[in-house]
Amino acid sequence: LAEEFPSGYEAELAEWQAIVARDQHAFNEWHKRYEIRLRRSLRSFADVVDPEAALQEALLRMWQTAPVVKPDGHRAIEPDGPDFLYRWTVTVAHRNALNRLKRSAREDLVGRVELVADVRPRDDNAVGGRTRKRIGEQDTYKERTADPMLRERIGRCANQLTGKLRNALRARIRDEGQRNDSELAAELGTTHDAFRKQIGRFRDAVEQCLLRHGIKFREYFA
Amino acid sequence: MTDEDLLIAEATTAWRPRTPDGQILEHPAWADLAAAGRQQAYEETLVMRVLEAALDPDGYSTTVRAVARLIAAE
Repeated sequence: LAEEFPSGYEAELAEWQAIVARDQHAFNEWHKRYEIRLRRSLRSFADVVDPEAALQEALLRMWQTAPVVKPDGHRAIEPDGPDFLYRWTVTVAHRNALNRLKRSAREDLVGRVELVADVRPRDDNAVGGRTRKRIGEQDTYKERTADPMLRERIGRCANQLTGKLRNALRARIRDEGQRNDSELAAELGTTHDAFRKQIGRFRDAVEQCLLRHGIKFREYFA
Repeated sequence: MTDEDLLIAEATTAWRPRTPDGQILEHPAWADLAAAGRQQAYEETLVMRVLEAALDPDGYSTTVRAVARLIAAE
């Protein structure tokens, strides 16, 4: 959260070239910066497609196909302006979400979500937009999520909590998404229910702590 | 916490089941939620990823780590 962002389009092109050269650190840093924006782009799908699964698969696809990015006659897969990797990955994520929906038993929802996928990104210049008038808004968002004071304050709030409350989230962080909560709970010698409660209580406690310091945490994602 | 709260908390993990050919599947807890619960799980996941990143030495969320693992395993 505290990292510096590339200063412009040229820096983004250099970052893309590093990803094309299979620099996984460059990819991780790019992913880190754009994760919340990518996740927000899936909000309209959230009740019909698991956003986490769709996002992870889209990011994997982005890594696999970054070397062959070229104008394709459609949109987004062109290094044509700021955030082109972001816009491209949003397109991949939305297509992935639609495919998931078509494979599910909810064919009745496909039309509704297709409309969202087709219109919404262009409305907010996320995909295929040639104008740059919203770059200022995006920069403001980046500055907010990059706020090192927020990161420091979250760390302080977390450290004020009992070890028991911190254990579950720390276990998830250590595990890097490799095992489910039931397995992590067993490793900690606790029950699945207790583990899940610790996750929820940790989140609530940190949010309350941030609020006491005047930080309305959820406004960062509004 | 209600049963729905527990499912929502569980769905915020970055872990997802995978098929042998690498397809990433939906979380069973997410699948058990109704539409309103899924929306809430989405919002809570946003919060969790920022908390995780703030507590990670490199500033990476568990999703960044999980995807990095997938790439490394290719």
